[in-house]
Amino acid sequence: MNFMNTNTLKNLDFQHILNLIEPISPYGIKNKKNIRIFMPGEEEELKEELDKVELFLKHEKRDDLKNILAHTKEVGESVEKAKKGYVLLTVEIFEIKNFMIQCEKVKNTFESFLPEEMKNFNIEELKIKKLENLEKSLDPREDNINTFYIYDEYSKKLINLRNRKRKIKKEMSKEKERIREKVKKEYDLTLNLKDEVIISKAEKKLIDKIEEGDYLTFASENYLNHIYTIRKTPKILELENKYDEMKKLEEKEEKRIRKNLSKLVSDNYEDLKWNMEVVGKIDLVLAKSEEAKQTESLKPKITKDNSISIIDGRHLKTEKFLKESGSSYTPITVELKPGTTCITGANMGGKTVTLKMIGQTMAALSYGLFVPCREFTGGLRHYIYISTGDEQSVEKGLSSFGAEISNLRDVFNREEERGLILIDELAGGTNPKEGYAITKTIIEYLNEKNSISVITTHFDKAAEGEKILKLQVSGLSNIDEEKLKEELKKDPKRGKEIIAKYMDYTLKEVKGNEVPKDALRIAQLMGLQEDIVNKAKEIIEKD
Amino acid sequence: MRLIQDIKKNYKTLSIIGLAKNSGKTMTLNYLMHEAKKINLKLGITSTGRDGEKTDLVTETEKPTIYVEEGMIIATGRKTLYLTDASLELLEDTDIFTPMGRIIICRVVQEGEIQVAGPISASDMQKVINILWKYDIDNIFIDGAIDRKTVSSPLITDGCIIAAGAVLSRDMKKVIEKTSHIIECYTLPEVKDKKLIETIKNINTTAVISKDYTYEKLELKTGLGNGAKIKNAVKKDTKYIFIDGALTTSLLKNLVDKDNSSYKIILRDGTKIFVDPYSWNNLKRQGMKINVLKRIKIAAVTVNPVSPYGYVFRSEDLIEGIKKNTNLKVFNVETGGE
Repeated sequence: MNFMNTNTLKNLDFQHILNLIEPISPYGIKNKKNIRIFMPGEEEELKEELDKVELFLKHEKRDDLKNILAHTKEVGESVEKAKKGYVLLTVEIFEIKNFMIQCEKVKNTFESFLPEEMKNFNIEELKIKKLENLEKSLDPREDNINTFYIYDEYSKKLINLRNRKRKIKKEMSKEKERIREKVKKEYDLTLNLKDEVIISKAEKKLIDKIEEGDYLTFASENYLNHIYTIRKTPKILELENKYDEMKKLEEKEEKRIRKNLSKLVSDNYEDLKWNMEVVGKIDLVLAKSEEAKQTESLKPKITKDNSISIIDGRHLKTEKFLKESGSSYTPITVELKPGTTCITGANMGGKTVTLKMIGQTMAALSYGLFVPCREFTGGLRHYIYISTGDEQSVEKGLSSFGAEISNLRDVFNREEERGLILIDELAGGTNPKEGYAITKTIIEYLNEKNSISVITTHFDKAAEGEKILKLQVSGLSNIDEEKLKEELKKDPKRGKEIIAKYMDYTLKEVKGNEVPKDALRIAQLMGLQEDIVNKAKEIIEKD
Repeated sequence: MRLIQDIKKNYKTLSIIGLAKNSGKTMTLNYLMHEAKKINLKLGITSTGRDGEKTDLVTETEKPTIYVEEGMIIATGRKTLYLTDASLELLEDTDIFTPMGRIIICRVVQEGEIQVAGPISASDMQKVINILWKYDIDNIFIDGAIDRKTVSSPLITDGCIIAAGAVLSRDMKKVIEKTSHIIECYTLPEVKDKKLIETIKNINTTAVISKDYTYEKLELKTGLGNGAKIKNAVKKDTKYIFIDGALTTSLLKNLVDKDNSSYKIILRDGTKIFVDPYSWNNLKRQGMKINVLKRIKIAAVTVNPVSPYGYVFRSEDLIEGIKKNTNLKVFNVETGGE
């Protein structure tokens, strides 16, 4: 595990955010695959990255830029090929020429329309280089358009060869036309496109006449017809030979020109590579700014402190889901310090989503993204780990408890680092006595560490101790219960949604050790059979 | 009027389709390009999917390459440009992808042979057509194809030329029957009832439609039993049945019976018909009525009497046989054309 393992990525629904970053050029797509993750100590670089995201967010020509990037094609392979000394194909040279034209467009659009307040921003890293000599060589006619051909202008020899070829071709057609006319005159036959005539075998006289004549020669037959073609006169043969020779010479000369151009591409290797990188960077930052816009994320305040403050944070995937089903998401505010923070509170109180929200926000920050909250202040983490108690390691054959413990062991090995450890219902699937013991020990263990740990638990007293920060979901404590009951009566099928509507998801700090017991209350509200609820209450009272 | 004059005027975009592999499609295309040159038509050329290879991929028989002339504008996949004999100026790199690479627009500088591999989907083909028109050409020829999955080129062009060949059957009568059947299907009468056209536009799926244009939509899954399902939905006042998709023999048999064929069957177009000629003709006698939303215009039919499997028909017999069933121009390009 480096920054996040795949389970954490999945449980935070961070892929949902990554999917919203959509670079359009092959260079941007490649760049996204190697997206940088910022580590503690790299705060300044992160700030620069976030400034860039902001710059593109404010850039008035962002749509034009996207359009240009969408038409930028991959030429990396061809450039490498040239560097290795291979001769490029015409189509490859054409593509490199087009790439350079696209780069020029990116440069003009990007640099000429920088937002006013960013004029002094250092964009050295995003500056496309101009490759004047290569540009000139690929446009020998100074057309300034993106077409390409091994133009006559490349060499006098080429013009000469092509002219001679044309002349020979003309003579050849003339000679063939002469024969066509003769064939027409002597046999009243018209040659087809392949210079052939098809004669039925029944026409013996005509066949004899053709066989004796000078103009046609037997080519092939099927059981109905003989097929004759033009007999090559010495003149035609001579012209054909000459033509082939000219063609070979032309191809040789074209190859020589392509070789020179390939060498020139190779000479410009570094600058071409630079430009590809710049296009990739621009594309990725633009895509990041697009993601920020779409998710209404804001620029975070980066500090070097080992603390996290999230005001009105949103877990994006949950928010989207709720929106689509007609409800709304309640943003959550948390302040976290190194050591353990315990979250307790009602079932259905959104504790798991809060954990995910914290992890997702921190992951976004480390990936150099804007964050989905109203305000963020805090420092970077070396790693993020979330345990939701349902990870199973199929390959290793471990149960969920085994997988959970094995992951935690790996995480605890990194105690020197500044991690973010999020644990949902630790040991929730095991027997309560041992579960309690393990939970309490781990809460206390993590409280002494450099990492920020957030743990949700149902175990009474596991969070005991002065030093441990305790947060509680407000839940159903301040509501008009009669009103809620009435609403549930009217529409019992929508119980879950109605309770969710009344639920107060906000967190408040509590001092005592008592964990609220909302489970039975909610079970009752949700319409669990009354005898069961009553019996359960009895058991608790007896205890 | 010579065919090429007709094409110049009435078929700005023309697809050439073969009823089978080796039915003479590429020969027909070469012939038309040659004719176009005689009257100085500036052509744009592309194809559906990969085509124009030296040997046919399916039967490995020899297949003529496309011979392009100076000035023509070609739209073809990038990889085909590695192999061309013709000299090409590369004009434009598009964003349209094909199995042979992105479509690149080229101008022929020196004539020669070439492979042309165009786009696969109908929407991409439409994009390619739009790009080609930018280059000051008179007509566009598409080396086309009829395919259930990919683009049925006659639907997006002004018309088509059908290449039929001996390869269709060893029995010449069958070749004539199959060719005539396809011609009939493609040129079925178009729906004239404007209110019906409007209604179908709104329905956009298989449905039975009553006299007063009220309708019942039918959710059909591919497979058996659809015919019965449609038939069950038919009421006394049903005037039309719109089939959104393929019309197969078994489906059609279910829809037509002797007593009750008061309704018309409506299809999108004739390429959706997959009914054997024998059943088709039988059902026609029983009173089946089929109209289409789009009729395909056929400019001419070409025949190739030579089969790659070694047998040959008399060219004149084949031409005469097809002509009995249609008023279209029918000719053999190999024996001199029209």
